[in-house]
Parts: sequence; structure tokens; C-alpha cells
Amino acid sequence: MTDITPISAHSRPVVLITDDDNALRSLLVMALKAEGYEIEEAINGEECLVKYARLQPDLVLLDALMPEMDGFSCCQHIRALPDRPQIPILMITFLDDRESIDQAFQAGATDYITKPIHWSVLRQRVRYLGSAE
Amino acid sequence: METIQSPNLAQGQLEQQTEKLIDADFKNPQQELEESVLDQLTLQAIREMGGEEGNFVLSNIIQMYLETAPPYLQQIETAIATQDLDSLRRAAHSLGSSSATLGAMNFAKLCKELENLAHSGSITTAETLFFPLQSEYEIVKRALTLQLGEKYD
Repeated sequence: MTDITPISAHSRPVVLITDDDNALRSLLVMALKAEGYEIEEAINGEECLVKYARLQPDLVLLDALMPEMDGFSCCQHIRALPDRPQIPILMITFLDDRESIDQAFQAGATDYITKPIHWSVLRQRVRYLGSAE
Repeated sequence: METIQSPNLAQGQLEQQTEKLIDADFKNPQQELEESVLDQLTLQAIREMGGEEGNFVLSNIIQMYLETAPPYLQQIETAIATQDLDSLRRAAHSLGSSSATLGAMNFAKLCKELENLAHSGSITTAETLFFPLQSEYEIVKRALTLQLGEKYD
């Protein structure tokens, strides 16, 4: 098992989870907290950007379609920032939506997972991406 | 009058054999509904994630879903009536996503179809999907409510 080396001032790697679905967000929090990550939450792309600037997370988990600002725009904004070009961004798409997946990579996502979430795939992918930066 | 007896079965055994066959062939209707509508592996994964609190966690997620789904259905109906494609796409997406989280895959796929239709501008076809969507939701709701009851019985 590879550990994530935190690059921020936090003692544990920080994952910023952004999803407008309260139920799914609480499951994501539970799944990743159990893996030892420090979790921060946002309910849309705008809030994600604000928290991203303040917290400098080690990984961003982004739902694709959300109100206010969606995951694609949010991802583009993060990628446009000069400081951390390699920050892993994992996009969440609904079912196997080819168009959204293409759009996610065009926006700069590092990888994607689909809903319904396969929880062990999520854990492995977060672990892998976190160690890859 | 003579009664014809089966040479291999003593009295009462025939009834016992028949009951066994019925048990093997027919699941409890409640179990059958839950299994046909909700992906059991998805629900089990949520329970496992919650550990000792697994049933409580799953019940919370179901309750959250049952509170948020009706407003989304309402939003879909209004969006179709007003031909608001953006609102239709967003509501269908949100409802489908949260349904998939609980393993309601047929319903989630219907929502996805609606989302795609809204994306492509086919409001007339979207309109024909609303009734099947409503009917399927009632089935999903029933299956989820049974899940809730089962855990607290």
C-alpha cells in the first residue's frame, strides 16, 4: 500500500469532496475518512474554488454536474491556477456517460469514476492519485 | 370408496414436499420486489461501509433520498411543461445520480435517458417518458420503504 505524502500543512492528506448530493457526499466522506484522509466538503464548484484556495488540498473529488458552477468549469478554473499544475482531480460522472467523460478530460481532470460508485475502486483510485502527484 | 395412495409417500409427506417446493420456487414478495428494483450489492456495500452502524447509515441515506426525490420529480414535470431544457437536464441528472447511489438502476437509467433527451433538445420525447418515470419511482419508493421497515422491525 502506498501512502500519500501530504504537501499541505495538514497532518493527514486532505481530500476536498465537492458534490451537491448530500447523501452521496456523506458516503464519500465516510469512505475516505475511514482511509485516514482529512476531509473538506463543498456543495458546488464555486465553494470548491474558495475552499481550494484556502486549504490547498492534496486531491479534489468533483461531481460533474452541480448547480451554480459545475465540475467541468471548476476543474478548468483549478487548472488555470499557476501554483499546482499537477494537483489530482478525480471527476465523478453519472453512469458511463461518454460525453461527460470526454468533457472531464478536456477540462483537465486526472481521472474519473462513475456513479453508482464502486467503493473499493474509489479507495484505490484516490490512493493511487494521491501518491502520484 | 377407495382412496388412491402414492406408494412412496406416507400420509402428510405429500403436503410437506409440496410446501418445500413452494418455498424453494417462490420468494417472499417483499424480498422479490426489493431484489428486482434495487441492486442488492450496492445496498450491501453501503451497509458494510457503515460497519456496526451499517443499517442505520443505509436508513439515513434512504430517508434523505425519499425527501429529495419528490421535489426533483416536480421540477422535471414543471420543466417539461415550460419546455425548460436546462432545468429538465439538471433535475433528471440529480435524481438519476442519487437513485444510482441506492442501486435503483432501472430508474436511474430512465433519468439518464431523460437527461440526454433534454441535452439534445427533444422535449416531446421527454414528455412521453414522464409517466413511466413516475410509475417507476413509486416502485422504487415502495422497495426502499420496505428496506426501512425491515431494518426497524
